[in-house]
Amino acid sequence: MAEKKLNSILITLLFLSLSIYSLAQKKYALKTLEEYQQYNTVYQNWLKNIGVADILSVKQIEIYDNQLTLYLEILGENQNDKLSKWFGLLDYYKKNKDFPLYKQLYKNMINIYKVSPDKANIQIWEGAYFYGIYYDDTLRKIDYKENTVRNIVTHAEVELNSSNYAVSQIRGGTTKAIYDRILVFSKRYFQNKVENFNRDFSYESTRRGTRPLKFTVNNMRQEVLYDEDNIFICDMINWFIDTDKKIDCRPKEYLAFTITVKINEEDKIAEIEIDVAGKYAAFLSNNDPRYYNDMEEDFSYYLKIYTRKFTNEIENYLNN
Amino acid sequence: MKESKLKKRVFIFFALAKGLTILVILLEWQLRAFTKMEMFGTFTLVLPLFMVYLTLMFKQFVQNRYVDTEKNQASKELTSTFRTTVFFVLPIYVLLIIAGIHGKATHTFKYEEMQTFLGLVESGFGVYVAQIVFALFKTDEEKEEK
Repeated sequence: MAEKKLNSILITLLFLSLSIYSLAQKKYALKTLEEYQQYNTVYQNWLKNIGVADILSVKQIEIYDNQLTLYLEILGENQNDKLSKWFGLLDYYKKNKDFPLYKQLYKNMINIYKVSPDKANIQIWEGAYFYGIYYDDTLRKIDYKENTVRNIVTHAEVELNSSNYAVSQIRGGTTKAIYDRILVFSKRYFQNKVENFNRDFSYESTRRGTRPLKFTVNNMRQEVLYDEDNIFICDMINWFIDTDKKIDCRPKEYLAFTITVKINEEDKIAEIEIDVAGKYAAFLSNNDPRYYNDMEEDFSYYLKIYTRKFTNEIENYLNN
Repeated sequence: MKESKLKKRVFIFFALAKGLTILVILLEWQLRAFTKMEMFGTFTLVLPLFMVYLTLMFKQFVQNRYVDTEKNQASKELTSTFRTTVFFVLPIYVLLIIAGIHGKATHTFKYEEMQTFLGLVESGFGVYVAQIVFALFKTDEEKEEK
């Protein structure tokens, strides 16, 4: 009798735990991307209602690794304008509102997209600037991370009278021609400076010249940090081992370029803005630049000189 | 093994370990695994506790500066279990610290993660190290004062 009772209790417990488990699964499982996309307009409307829609806008959402990421875009004419607007907004909220902007953005994302806090994050990227909002599971609070890397920006001008840039009848044709030439130049420039060109050089399409040219170069040595030679210990080891395969202890360098071309038809010139973010890491590290250190911290002087030199070379190339 | 002999070895071990840790941090900075700020940050994380231990050891080393054969002979014989524990715990403590620092260079850890890891080693494993160091190097009077 007692055994029967025990069995029924066990079965009840099993059912209970199964139903709790399935409820929990329902509560915490993410929906499909299409289902979430319908909330983009709602979120955008909410941004409008609180009066920040002229600075922030919903760019896209993404599901990766069981996390829903909402990408917000900063609106503005150029990178400097965008960042100054964004910092102004953050400053305004800090001084005038009791509830920080990042918390508002995050709480409303959870409410509007109906997603559990541990599965949601917001990311804002502007060049190498990054602002991420997430839920810290350990401290049980909404938190944010900010990468305040200041890129080095330089400018160049190209005369459009040259036969290379005969103003095309097709809109954007000249811009695309300049972007193409910059890409050709850059590929040639970095060809022999990386370990494996196909792996280490990558670029984004400019969509017929309508978007800025973005390319990254990884695994370079002594490109920007020209002083960083093998340290004494590595030289000693190389001397001691004395084989063909030497240890290269020089730090790895990573550069991210964003090049924007604007045509000034009145003056027949193209204004080129070159924005460079630099990173570096120890030779032992893996090749993922997300973990690299920013050059801005210890080597901004080197990056400034390098960017100026690179800009001059591009300018000379494009003007000839 | 007598206590006085073990004390000497522990003192030498700690002095060498401290030197090695400083060297590893400087080397990682030279290899550009750390920024300058990160290097100083790591020093402030790792060195203070090491310094406390070394100061305590050095204090006794100075106090026992006279040749006192009677006192040395009176030094107590240690159990093999205690000896083994000392030779097991101390190297692991130092190795964990160096592994944590090196983990940043290989990107096993981000800097913040390395800080947490070193904090855990210092607070978790450090308790055992402190027990050993205080048991060996605190004088009876100091222990009574507490």
